[in-house]
Amino acid sequence: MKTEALIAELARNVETPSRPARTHSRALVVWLSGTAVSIAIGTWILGVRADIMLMLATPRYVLEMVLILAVAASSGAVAVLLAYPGRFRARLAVFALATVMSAWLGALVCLAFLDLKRGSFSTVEWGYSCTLFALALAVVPAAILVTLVRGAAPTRPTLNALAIGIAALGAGALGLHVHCTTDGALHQFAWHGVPVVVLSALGASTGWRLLRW
Amino acid sequence: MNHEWATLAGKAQAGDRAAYGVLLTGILVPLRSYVARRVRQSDSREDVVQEILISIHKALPTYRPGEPFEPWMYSVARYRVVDHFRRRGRALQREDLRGDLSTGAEFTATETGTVASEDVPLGEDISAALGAIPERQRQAVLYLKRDDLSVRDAATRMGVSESSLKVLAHRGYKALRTLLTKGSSLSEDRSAHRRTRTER
Repeated sequence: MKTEALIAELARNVETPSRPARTHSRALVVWLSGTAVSIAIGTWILGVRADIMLMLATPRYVLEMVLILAVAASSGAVAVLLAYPGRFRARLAVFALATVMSAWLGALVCLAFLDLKRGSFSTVEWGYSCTLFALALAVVPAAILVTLVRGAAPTRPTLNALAIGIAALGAGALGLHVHCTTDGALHQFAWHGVPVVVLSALGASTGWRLLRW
Repeated sequence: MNHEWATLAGKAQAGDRAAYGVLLTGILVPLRSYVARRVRQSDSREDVVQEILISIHKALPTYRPGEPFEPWMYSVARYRVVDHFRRRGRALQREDLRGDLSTGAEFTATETGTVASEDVPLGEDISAALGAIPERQRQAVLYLKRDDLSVRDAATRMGVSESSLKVLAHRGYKALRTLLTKGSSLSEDRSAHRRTRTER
Protein backbone atom coordinates (compact mmCIF):
# COMPACT_ATOMS: atom_id res chain seq x y z
CA MET A 1 0.00 0.00 0.00
CA LYS A 2 1.33 3.43 -0.90
CA THR A 3 1.86 5.95 1.86
CA GLU A 4 -0.50 8.46 0.29
CA ALA A 5 -3.23 5.78 0.13
CA LEU A 6 -2.55 4.91 3.77
CA ILE A 7 -2.95 8.58 4.76
CA ALA A 8 -6.28 8.71 2.92
CA GLU A 9 -7.38 5.51 4.70
CA LEU A 10 -6.33 6.83 8.11
CA ALA A 11 -8.04 10.18 7.50
CA ARG A 12 -11.25 8.34 6.64
CA ASN A 13 -11.13 6.57 10.02
CA VAL A 14 -10.28 9.58 12.15
CA GLU A 15 -13.65 9.60 13.91
CA THR A 16 -13.06 6.08 15.22
CA PRO A 17 -9.80 6.30 17.16
CA SER A 18 -8.73 2.88 18.38
CA ARG A 19 -7.84 4.00 21.91
CA PRO A 20 -10.01 5.71 24.50
CA ALA A 21 -8.88 9.17 25.50
CA ARG A 22 -7.94 9.47 29.15
CA THR A 23 -5.86 12.29 30.54
CA HIS A 24 -2.74 11.46 32.51
CA SER A 25 -4.05 13.18 35.63
CA ARG A 26 -7.22 11.08 35.54
CA ALA A 27 -5.14 7.93 35.03
CA LEU A 28 -3.00 8.84 38.03
CA VAL A 29 -6.07 9.43 40.22
CA VAL A 30 -7.47 6.04 39.14
CA TRP A 31 -4.18 4.33 40.04
CA LEU A 32 -3.76 6.09 43.37
CA SER A 33 -7.31 5.36 44.50
CA GLY A 34 -7.24 1.75 43.25
CA THR A 35 -3.89 1.18 44.93
CA ALA A 36 -5.03 2.76 48.21
CA VAL A 37 -8.06 0.45 48.33
CA SER A 38 -6.13 -2.71 47.38
CA ILE A 39 -3.28 -2.00 49.85
CA ALA A 40 -5.79 -1.24 52.61
CA ILE A 41 -7.60 -4.54 51.98
CA GLY A 42 -4.33 -6.48 51.64
CA THR A 43 -2.91 -5.05 54.86
CA TRP A 44 -6.17 -5.76 56.67
CA ILE A 45 -5.98 -9.40 55.51
CA LEU A 46 -2.30 -9.71 56.55
CA GLY A 47 -2.93 -7.92 59.82
CA VAL A 48 -1.86 -4.52 61.08
CA ARG A 49 0.89 -4.49 63.73
CA ALA A 50 -0.55 -4.18 67.24
CA ASP A 51 1.48 -1.10 68.23
CA ILE A 52 0.64 0.92 65.10
CA MET A 53 -0.75 3.93 67.02
CA LEU A 54 2.38 4.08 69.15
CA MET A 55 4.63 3.78 66.10
CA LEU A 56 2.77 6.57 64.26
CA ALA A 57 3.90 8.89 67.04
CA THR A 58 7.56 7.94 66.36
CA PRO A 59 9.30 10.35 63.93
CA ARG A 60 11.59 7.60 62.59
CA TYR A 61 8.65 5.34 61.67
CA VAL A 62 6.77 8.23 60.07
CA LEU A 63 9.88 9.27 58.10
CA GLU A 64 10.25 5.73 56.73
CA MET A 65 6.58 5.69 55.81
CA VAL A 66 6.76 9.06 54.04
CA LEU A 67 9.80 7.93 52.04
CA ILE A 68 8.09 4.71 50.91
CA LEU A 69 4.97 6.69 50.03
CA ALA A 70 7.14 9.08 47.99
CA VAL A 71 8.71 6.13 46.15
CA ALA A 72 5.33 4.60 45.29
CA ALA A 73 3.52 7.83 44.35
CA SER A 74 6.31 9.42 42.32
CA SER A 75 7.12 6.19 40.47
CA GLY A 76 3.42 5.78 39.70
CA ALA A 77 3.34 9.34 38.34
CA VAL A 78 6.47 8.67 36.26
CA ALA A 79 4.91 5.46 34.87
CA VAL A 80 1.72 7.27 33.89
CA LEU A 81 3.51 10.28 32.37
CA LEU A 82 5.85 8.07 30.35
CA ALA A 83 2.80 6.49 28.73
CA TYR A 84 1.91 9.83 27.10
CA PRO A 85 4.32 10.63 24.24
CA GLY A 86 6.41 13.77 24.65
CA ARG A 87 5.10 14.44 28.16
CA PHE A 88 8.12 13.36 30.18
CA ARG A 89 11.77 13.04 29.22
CA ALA A 90 13.37 9.64 29.74
CA ARG A 91 16.41 11.17 31.49
CA LEU A 92 14.16 13.02 33.88
CA ALA A 93 12.26 9.79 34.56
CA VAL A 94 15.50 7.93 35.35
CA PHE A 95 16.60 10.81 37.58
CA ALA A 96 13.27 10.86 39.45
CA LEU A 97 13.26 7.09 40.01
CA ALA A 98 16.91 7.05 41.10
CA THR A 99 16.38 10.00 43.46
CA VAL A 100 13.39 8.56 45.34
CA MET A 101 14.92 5.09 45.58
CA SER A 102 18.27 6.41 46.82
CA ALA A 103 16.50 8.67 49.32
CA TRP A 104 14.68 5.68 50.80
CA LEU A 105 17.57 3.20 50.76
CA GLY A 106 20.07 5.92 51.81
CA ALA A 107 17.88 6.85 54.77
CA LEU A 108 17.77 3.19 55.85
CA VAL A 109 21.59 2.95 55.68
CA CYS A 110 21.91 6.18 57.69
CA LEU A 111 19.47 4.84 60.28
CA ALA A 112 21.52 1.63 60.53
CA PHE A 113 24.65 3.73 61.24
CA LEU A 114 22.76 5.76 63.83
CA ASP A 115 21.73 2.50 65.51
CA LEU A 116 25.37 1.41 65.46
CA LYS A 117 26.48 4.67 67.13
CA ARG A 118 23.88 4.25 69.83
CA GLY A 119 25.06 0.69 70.41
CA SER A 120 21.77 -0.84 69.30
CA PHE A 121 23.01 -2.25 66.00
CA SER A 122 20.50 -4.61 64.45
CA THR A 123 21.47 -7.62 62.38
CA VAL A 124 19.85 -8.47 59.06
CA GLU A 125 17.04 -10.60 60.36
CA TRP A 126 15.81 -13.31 58.02
CA GLY A 127 12.71 -11.99 56.29
CA TYR A 128 11.98 -13.56 52.92
CA SER A 129 8.31 -13.68 53.92
CA CYS A 130 8.35 -9.85 53.99
CA THR A 131 9.45 -9.80 50.34
CA LEU A 132 6.73 -12.32 49.46
CA PHE A 133 4.10 -10.22 51.24
CA ALA A 134 5.25 -7.08 49.42
CA LEU A 135 5.09 -8.98 46.14
CA ALA A 136 1.55 -10.20 46.89
CA LEU A 137 0.41 -6.69 47.83
CA ALA A 138 1.95 -5.31 44.61
CA VAL A 139 -0.06 -7.52 42.26
CA VAL A 140 -3.23 -5.39 42.09
CA PRO A 141 -1.43 -1.99 41.87
CA ALA A 142 0.78 -3.40 39.09
CA ALA A 143 -2.23 -4.77 37.19
CA ILE A 144 -4.05 -1.41 37.40
CA LEU A 145 -0.98 0.50 36.26
CA VAL A 146 -0.23 -1.85 33.37
CA THR A 147 -3.85 -1.51 32.18
CA LEU A 148 -3.70 2.29 32.38
CA VAL A 149 -0.33 2.51 30.63
CA ARG A 150 -1.40 0.11 27.89
CA GLY A 151 -4.48 2.27 27.35
CA ALA A 152 -2.20 5.18 26.41
CA ALA A 153 0.86 5.03 24.13
CA PRO A 154 4.03 4.11 26.03
CA THR A 155 7.07 5.00 23.93
CA ARG A 156 9.72 3.81 26.43
CA PRO A 157 8.46 0.32 27.33
CA THR A 158 11.44 -0.88 29.39
CA LEU A 159 11.73 2.28 31.45
CA ASN A 160 7.97 2.36 31.82
CA ALA A 161 7.93 -1.26 33.02
CA LEU A 162 10.66 -0.40 35.56
CA ALA A 163 8.63 2.55 36.86
CA ILE A 164 5.54 0.33 37.11
CA GLY A 165 7.54 -2.24 39.09
CA ILE A 166 8.94 0.31 41.52
CA ALA A 167 5.54 1.96 41.96
CA ALA A 168 3.69 -1.32 42.59
CA LEU A 169 6.36 -2.85 44.83
CA GLY A 170 6.71 0.50 46.63
CA ALA A 171 2.98 0.38 47.33
CA GLY A 172 3.44 -3.21 48.52
CA ALA A 173 6.31 -2.08 50.78
CA LEU A 174 4.03 0.58 52.25
CA GLY A 175 1.46 -2.04 53.21
CA LEU A 176 4.25 -4.21 54.55
CA HIS A 177 5.52 -1.35 56.69
CA VAL A 178 2.18 -1.30 58.48
CA HIS A 179 2.27 -5.09 58.95
CA CYS A 180 5.92 -5.97 59.72
CA THR A 181 7.03 -5.69 63.34
CA THR A 182 10.78 -5.90 62.66
CA ASP A 183 11.98 -2.30 62.90
CA GLY A 184 15.70 -2.92 62.28
CA ALA A 185 17.00 -0.64 59.51
CA LEU A 186 19.12 -3.41 58.01
CA HIS A 187 16.16 -5.78 57.88
CA GLN A 188 14.12 -3.14 56.08
CA PHE A 189 16.99 -2.37 53.72
CA ALA A 190 17.58 -6.02 52.80
CA TRP A 191 14.01 -7.38 52.74
CA HIS A 192 11.80 -4.33 52.07
CA GLY A 193 13.96 -1.95 50.03
CA VAL A 194 16.44 -3.90 47.92
CA PRO A 195 13.79 -6.34 46.60
CA VAL A 196 11.88 -3.36 45.16
CA VAL A 197 14.88 -2.51 42.96
CA VAL A 198 15.86 -6.09 42.11
CA LEU A 199 12.35 -7.38 41.36
CA SER A 200 11.46 -4.25 39.37
CA ALA A 201 14.59 -4.63 37.24
CA LEU A 202 13.82 -8.32 36.70
CA GLY A 203 10.21 -7.52 35.85
CA ALA A 204 11.20 -4.75 33.43
CA SER A 205 13.62 -7.04 31.58
CA THR A 206 10.70 -9.18 30.43
CA GLY A 207 7.61 -7.12 31.28
CA TRP A 208 8.26 -4.43 28.66
CA ARG A 209 6.66 -6.78 26.12
CA LEU A 210 3.31 -6.23 27.84
CA LEU A 211 3.54 -2.55 26.97
CA ARG A 212 4.14 -2.92 23.23
CA TRP A 213 1.45 -1.48 21.01
CA MET B 1 4.52 25.03 11.55
CA ASN B 2 4.47 23.54 15.02
CA HIS B 3 1.48 25.68 16.00
CA GLU B 4 -0.30 24.81 12.77
CA TRP B 5 0.18 21.08 13.36
CA ALA B 6 -1.08 21.44 16.91
CA THR B 7 -4.23 23.15 15.63
CA LEU B 8 -4.73 20.48 12.97
CA ALA B 9 -4.21 17.70 15.53
CA GLY B 10 -6.81 19.29 17.79
CA LYS B 11 -9.27 19.40 14.89
CA ALA B 12 -8.43 15.82 13.96
CA GLN B 13 -9.23 14.71 17.50
CA ALA B 14 -12.62 16.33 17.05
CA GLY B 15 -13.17 14.17 13.95
CA ASP B 16 -12.20 16.62 11.18
CA ARG B 17 -11.09 14.30 8.36
CA ALA B 18 -9.77 17.06 6.11
CA ALA B 19 -7.63 18.55 8.88
CA TYR B 20 -6.30 15.09 9.71
CA GLY B 21 -5.42 14.44 6.06
CA VAL B 22 -3.59 17.79 5.86
CA LEU B 23 -1.75 17.04 9.12
CA LEU B 24 -0.60 13.57 8.03
CA THR B 25 0.49 14.88 4.63
CA GLY B 26 2.29 17.80 6.28
CA ILE B 27 4.26 15.64 8.68
CA LEU B 28 5.23 13.16 5.98
CA VAL B 29 8.33 15.08 4.81
CA PRO B 30 9.88 15.61 8.27
CA LEU B 31 9.04 12.01 9.17
CA ARG B 32 10.72 10.70 6.02
CA SER B 33 13.87 12.70 6.75
CA TYR B 34 13.79 11.59 10.42
CA VAL B 35 13.60 7.95 9.33
CA ALA B 36 16.21 8.41 6.57
CA ARG B 37 18.70 9.71 9.14
CA ARG B 38 18.21 6.65 11.35
CA VAL B 39 17.36 3.69 9.11
CA ARG B 40 20.18 2.71 6.77
CA GLN B 41 18.18 0.16 4.80
CA SER B 42 16.57 2.26 2.09
CA ASP B 43 14.07 -0.49 1.19
CA SER B 44 12.51 -0.54 4.65
CA ARG B 45 12.37 3.23 5.25
CA GLU B 46 8.94 3.74 3.71
CA ASP B 47 7.59 0.79 5.74
CA VAL B 48 8.86 2.43 8.92
CA VAL B 49 7.27 5.75 7.89
CA GLN B 50 3.95 3.94 7.37
CA GLU B 51 4.26 2.25 10.76
CA ILE B 52 4.85 5.65 12.36
CA LEU B 53 1.74 7.05 10.65
CA ILE B 54 -0.34 4.12 11.91
CA SER B 55 1.07 4.60 15.41
CA ILE B 56 0.29 8.31 15.30
CA HIS B 57 -3.26 7.38 14.33
CA LYS B 58 -3.52 4.97 17.26
CA ALA B 59 -1.96 7.35 19.76
CA LEU B 60 -3.81 10.48 18.62
CA PRO B 61 -6.15 10.49 21.64
CA THR B 62 -3.10 10.83 23.94
CA TYR B 63 -2.14 14.16 22.33
CA ARG B 64 -3.25 17.11 24.43
CA PRO B 65 -4.63 19.96 22.25
CA GLY B 66 -2.73 23.20 22.65
CA GLU B 67 0.58 21.55 23.50
CA PRO B 68 3.47 21.43 20.99
CA PHE B 69 2.84 18.68 18.47
CA GLU B 70 6.44 17.95 17.45
CA PRO B 71 7.74 16.45 20.74
CA TRP B 72 4.69 14.18 20.78
CA MET B 73 5.14 13.15 17.14
CA TYR B 74 8.88 12.50 17.44
CA SER B 75 8.39 10.42 20.60
CA VAL B 76 6.05 8.14 18.65
CA ALA B 77 8.45 8.14 15.67
CA ARG B 78 11.42 7.27 17.87
CA TYR B 79 9.51 4.40 19.46
CA ARG B 80 8.63 2.96 16.06
CA VAL B 81 12.20 3.26 14.76
CA VAL B 82 13.57 1.49 17.86
CA ASP B 83 10.87 -1.16 17.49
CA HIS B 84 11.86 -1.62 13.84
CA PHE B 85 15.48 -2.27 14.82
CA ARG B 86 14.38 -4.64 17.58
CA ARG B 87 12.20 -6.65 15.20
CA ARG B 88 14.87 -6.65 12.53
CA GLY B 89 17.38 -7.95 15.06
CA ARG B 90 14.98 -10.68 16.10
CA ALA B 91 14.32 -11.64 12.47
CA LEU B 92 18.04 -11.96 11.84
CA GLN B 93 18.40 -14.08 14.98
CA ARG B 94 15.56 -16.34 13.82
CA GLU B 95 17.22 -16.76 10.46
CA ASP B 96 20.54 -17.54 12.17
CA LEU B 97 18.82 -20.18 14.29
CA ARG B 98 17.19 -21.69 11.23
CA GLY B 99 20.60 -21.73 9.58
CA ASP B 100 22.06 -23.58 12.55
CA LEU B 101 19.25 -26.11 12.49
CA SER B 102 19.34 -26.78 8.77
CA THR B 103 21.80 -29.22 7.27
CA GLY B 104 24.97 -27.19 7.42
CA ALA B 105 23.51 -24.27 5.53
CA GLU B 106 25.29 -21.01 6.25
CA PHE B 107 23.26 -17.81 6.43
CA THR B 108 24.81 -14.42 6.10
CA ALA B 109 23.07 -11.14 6.77
CA THR B 110 23.56 -8.74 3.90
CA GLU B 111 23.83 -4.98 4.09
CA THR B 112 20.15 -4.58 3.21
CA GLY B 113 19.01 -6.74 6.07
CA THR B 114 17.86 -9.58 3.83
CA VAL B 115 19.25 -12.99 4.51
CA ALA B 116 21.25 -14.71 1.84
CA SER B 117 22.02 -18.36 1.87
CA GLU B 118 24.61 -20.51 0.18
CA ASP B 119 22.71 -23.77 0.52
CA VAL B 120 19.20 -23.30 1.81
CA PRO B 121 16.73 -25.92 0.68
CA LEU B 122 14.15 -24.84 3.25
CA GLY B 123 14.36 -21.14 2.30
CA GLU B 124 14.11 -21.92 -1.40
CA ASP B 125 11.07 -24.12 -0.85
CA ILE B 126 9.33 -21.44 1.17
CA SER B 127 10.16 -18.74 -1.35
CA ALA B 128 8.89 -20.91 -4.19
CA ALA B 129 5.72 -21.79 -2.29
CA LEU B 130 5.16 -18.13 -1.39
CA GLY B 131 5.50 -17.24 -5.06
CA ALA B 132 2.86 -19.81 -5.95
CA ILE B 133 0.08 -18.56 -3.67
CA PRO B 134 -2.23 -15.63 -4.57
CA GLU B 135 -0.77 -12.14 -4.13
CA ARG B 136 -3.09 -10.98 -1.30
CA GLN B 137 -2.62 -14.18 0.69
CA ARG B 138 1.16 -13.84 0.31
CA GLN B 139 1.02 -10.22 1.45
CA ALA B 140 -1.04 -11.16 4.53
CA VAL B 141 1.38 -13.95 5.47
CA LEU B 142 4.43 -11.72 5.00
CA TYR B 143 2.99 -8.85 7.06
CA LEU B 144 2.11 -11.16 9.94
CA LYS B 145 5.07 -13.53 9.89
CA ARG B 146 7.97 -11.68 8.30
CA ASP B 147 7.24 -8.10 9.37
CA ASP B 148 5.72 -9.21 12.70
CA LEU B 149 2.84 -6.71 12.36
CA SER B 150 -0.28 -7.03 14.49
CA VAL B 151 -3.49 -8.14 12.76
CA ARG B 152 -4.84 -4.60 13.07
CA ASP B 153 -1.76 -2.97 11.51
CA ALA B 154 -1.59 -5.52 8.71
CA ALA B 155 -5.31 -5.05 7.99
CA THR B 156 -4.90 -1.26 7.87
CA ARG B 157 -2.00 -1.58 5.46
CA MET B 158 -3.89 -3.89 3.15
CA GLY B 159 -7.05 -1.83 3.40
CA VAL B 160 -9.20 -4.75 4.60
CA SER B 161 -11.03 -5.56 7.81
CA GLU B 162 -9.27 -7.56 10.55
CA SER B 163 -11.46 -10.61 9.95
CA SER B 164 -10.76 -10.52 6.19
CA LEU B 165 -7.06 -10.30 6.94
CA LYS B 166 -7.28 -13.34 9.21
CA VAL B 167 -9.13 -15.27 6.51
CA LEU B 168 -6.50 -14.30 3.91
CA ALA B 169 -3.65 -15.31 6.21
CA HIS B 170 -5.36 -18.60 7.12
CA ARG B 171 -5.85 -19.46 3.45
CA GLY B 172 -2.23 -18.50 2.81
CA TYR B 173 -0.94 -20.81 5.56
CA LYS B 174 -3.12 -23.64 4.30
CA ALA B 175 -1.91 -23.20 0.72
CA LEU B 176 1.71 -23.00 1.90
CA ARG B 177 1.32 -26.16 3.99
CA THR B 178 -0.15 -28.04 1.03
CA LEU B 179 2.56 -26.82 -1.35
CA LEU B 180 5.40 -27.57 1.09
CA THR B 181 4.04 -31.03 1.94
CA LYS B 182 3.67 -31.81 -1.78
CA GLY B 183 7.16 -30.45 -2.44
CA SER B 184 8.81 -32.55 0.27
CA SER B 185 6.97 -35.74 -0.77
CA LEU B 186 7.97 -35.10 -4.41
CA SER B 187 11.64 -34.69 -3.47
CA GLU B 188 11.43 -37.84 -1.33
CA ASP B 189 9.94 -39.71 -4.33
CA ARG B 190 12.74 -38.40 -6.53
CA SER B 191 15.46 -39.54 -4.10
CA ALA B 192 13.82 -42.97 -3.73
CA HIS B 193 13.67 -43.27 -7.53
CA ARG B 194 17.36 -42.27 -7.77
CA ARG B 195 18.31 -44.86 -5.13
CA THR B 196 16.43 -47.61 -6.98
CA ARG B 197 18.20 -46.76 -10.27
CA THR B 198 21.62 -46.81 -8.57
CA GLU B 199 20.88 -50.18 -6.96
CA ARG B 200 19.89 -51.59 -10.35
